[in-house]
Amino acid sequence: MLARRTALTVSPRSSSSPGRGWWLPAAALCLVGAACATVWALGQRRHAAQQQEQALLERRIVFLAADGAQALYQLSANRVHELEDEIAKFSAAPTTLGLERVRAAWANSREPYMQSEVFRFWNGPIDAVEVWLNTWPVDESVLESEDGRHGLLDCNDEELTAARLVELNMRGGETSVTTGFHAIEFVLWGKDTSLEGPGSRGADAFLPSDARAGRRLQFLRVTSRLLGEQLEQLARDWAPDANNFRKKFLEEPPRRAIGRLLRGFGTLAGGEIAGERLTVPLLTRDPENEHSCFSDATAVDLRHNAEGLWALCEGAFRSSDRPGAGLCALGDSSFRAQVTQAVRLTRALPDPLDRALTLPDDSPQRRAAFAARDAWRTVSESTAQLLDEFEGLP
Amino acid sequence: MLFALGLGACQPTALDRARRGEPAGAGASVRVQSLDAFSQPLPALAANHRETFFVGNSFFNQNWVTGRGSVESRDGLGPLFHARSCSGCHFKDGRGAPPLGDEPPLGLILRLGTGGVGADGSAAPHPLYGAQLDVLAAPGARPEARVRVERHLQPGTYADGASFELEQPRYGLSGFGYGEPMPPLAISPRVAPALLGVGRLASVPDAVLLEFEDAGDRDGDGISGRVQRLPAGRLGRFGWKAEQPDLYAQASAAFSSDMGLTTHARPDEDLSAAERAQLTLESTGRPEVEEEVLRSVVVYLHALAVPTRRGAEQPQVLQGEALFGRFGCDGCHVPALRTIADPYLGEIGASEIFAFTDLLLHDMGPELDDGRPSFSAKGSEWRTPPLWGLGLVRAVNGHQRLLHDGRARGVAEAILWHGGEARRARGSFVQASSSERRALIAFVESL
Repeated sequence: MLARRTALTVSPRSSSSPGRGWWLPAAALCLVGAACATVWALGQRRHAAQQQEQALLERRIVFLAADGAQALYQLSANRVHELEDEIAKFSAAPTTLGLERVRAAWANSREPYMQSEVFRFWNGPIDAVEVWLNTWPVDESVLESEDGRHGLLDCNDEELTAARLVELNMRGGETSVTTGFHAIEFVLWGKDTSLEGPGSRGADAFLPSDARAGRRLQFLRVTSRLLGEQLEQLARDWAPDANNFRKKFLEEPPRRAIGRLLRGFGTLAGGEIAGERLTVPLLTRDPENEHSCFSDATAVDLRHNAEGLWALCEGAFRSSDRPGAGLCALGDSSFRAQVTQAVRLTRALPDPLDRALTLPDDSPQRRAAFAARDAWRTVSESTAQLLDEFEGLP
Repeated sequence: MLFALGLGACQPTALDRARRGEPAGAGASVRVQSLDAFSQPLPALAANHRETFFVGNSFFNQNWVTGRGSVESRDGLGPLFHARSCSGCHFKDGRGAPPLGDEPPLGLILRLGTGGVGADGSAAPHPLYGAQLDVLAAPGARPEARVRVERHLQPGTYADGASFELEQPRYGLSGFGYGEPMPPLAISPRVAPALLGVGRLASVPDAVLLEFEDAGDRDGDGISGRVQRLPAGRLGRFGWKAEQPDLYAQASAAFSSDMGLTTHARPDEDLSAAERAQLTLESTGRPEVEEEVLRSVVVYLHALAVPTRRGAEQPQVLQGEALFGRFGCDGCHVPALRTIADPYLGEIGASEIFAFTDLLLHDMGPELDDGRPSFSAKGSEWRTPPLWGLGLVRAVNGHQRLLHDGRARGVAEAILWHGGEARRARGSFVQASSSERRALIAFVESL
């Protein structure tokens, strides 16, 4: 195109002296051709350099993600071990202070685990065991029934071993939960019947005067140990220098690994946070449909989910990490802005969330919750677009 | 250009299109192979329906409670019931399995009857135990009976000498709560079917069913699909015998017969007169499942996507695909159907879907006869189940129990149980070499 235009501009002059002027456009053509070739070659080289840079970026994202997964699962495991210790101490002497310490240890262990949820939803190691770790909502009558006879912790002869609880989990429906964070949560707090605070179970629920005390303590010991073991296994799955999942993950083409990470990122943002964790409690106005309904920790859960998404967006998973390379480096600046906005709105969620559920739709609390929901939905839609572009490439 | 001309000259068959296209059409298929493969919303779902999807999903998953519970939106279960939640049987929107040993039968229900039909053509219920067995009861009430599945091994051989063994189930009932059931007692066992893409099947117009119908086998291929004709001129398509015309009716029937929950469409508890006399009925609302809740569950069902195929271009799968056509499996498991716009989800338009069913009733032979005719369906007639997603049942539900009662342990056994109109297809499978058999199975599992 450029060459033709040049030729046209010189043609009037050549027409005035047809005898000797023929070489002028020809030379111009040659010159322009050479220039074009040079520009093309430079462009090619720059293109190659860009490609290389992109490949390096993708590799870096994948490595940082693997490190991040390992760090978060290990931290979760360590904190669950602290929970196990507190439960052991509390079992020996069930006091009010002891129960507070157990609850604090539970809440503490939730934080890194909620962040690690950004690694779910693509058939990774967590997806094989998640149903035993974090299933919710919990039908509390499966554990403690109102008639006092049919619940697992009522005085019946059902064995409370890890193997048996694993077997019983979700038998009878997705809310028949017998293991994991939320089953433990229910036993620690009891049902949350007030909008003023969490479940109000006292330490007396664990004293011999209560018929269920022994089974409750046994259940806490068994399920927290199981949880700790499962998290340790997840940390091992992602540990460096071993013949494990991490090795396979890092050996596959980085593009494929990133496709998985994007899929998980979008699902946590959309189906989970925007869908199950915000839309369902908001529309059903039912506090039992909150993620951590017994402890009133739903807003905290969501904040840590958001932190996990932010970490994978930036490639920085520990507070000591400097921003590295994350999924946000793959999109344009608006993608990062959307994630930032969603994280900001999540930090501003009403806490506890259950009070917001009963308020009218135009209350500031409910508006804030819907705004956070919409922001995560936008993130999820952008992630789906990014994933399409990504998978469309060779 | 040449390539395009080449394609134009040679029309791709339905099987070709099933290989290339998205199984449920654009915007309705998802690339997910995990535990949640059957639980995904349609990618093209509009924002307002996406909200309803998640709400419906929560009601689908949640356990209902007996009596008057502390949370009003989830009480009313029973007094007699089979399961506490939809997800109890359709775990992760997937497929149920028959119980082993003394396990309570969760993914399997037993329809009951006398073997006769009522004035409207429906299967006549058993006078004492009604149309379906309830194995659970609210505190203070007795369940109807316990079920135990006995399995008798039936050996057989392929033409190449390889042997196989089929499991013939028999159902033992004991511990009757309301007296010994007087004969005749017809039992029709049925597992919970997987729910992926049911909204696409609901969007197939009746005209397509009528188009495929060949009641008198006029085309002489040995296959005579019949439409399930329900009262008031409606055509059936959902359930193992296509006894329900749409998902609203199907969900209402399931709430009623599986969980003892009343709905707008089914305001009365599904109990026999004898049971009514002995049970105190405490209704927790009229109906117990509010219309808005029911509708959210129906929207949820309509909005379930279909996972895309895996390895459709692999040589073994392609070989199996050719055999699927050559053996005549596609006579009933019709690869392609045409849909119209979804009646609940306006944003999901008309398309071609690849469910591998004709939604018609077919005679499956005496071995699968349940002796309980229902509307147009004789005891031996069953609706062709869709095959899409079959290869992911193991990933989602941890088993591969197939056929209406889950007697088959995998694809090969399911084919071997085929009789009646499918006799010829079964015969071809038995005559095939072991590598051909493996190829056919690989094809079915790629769906």
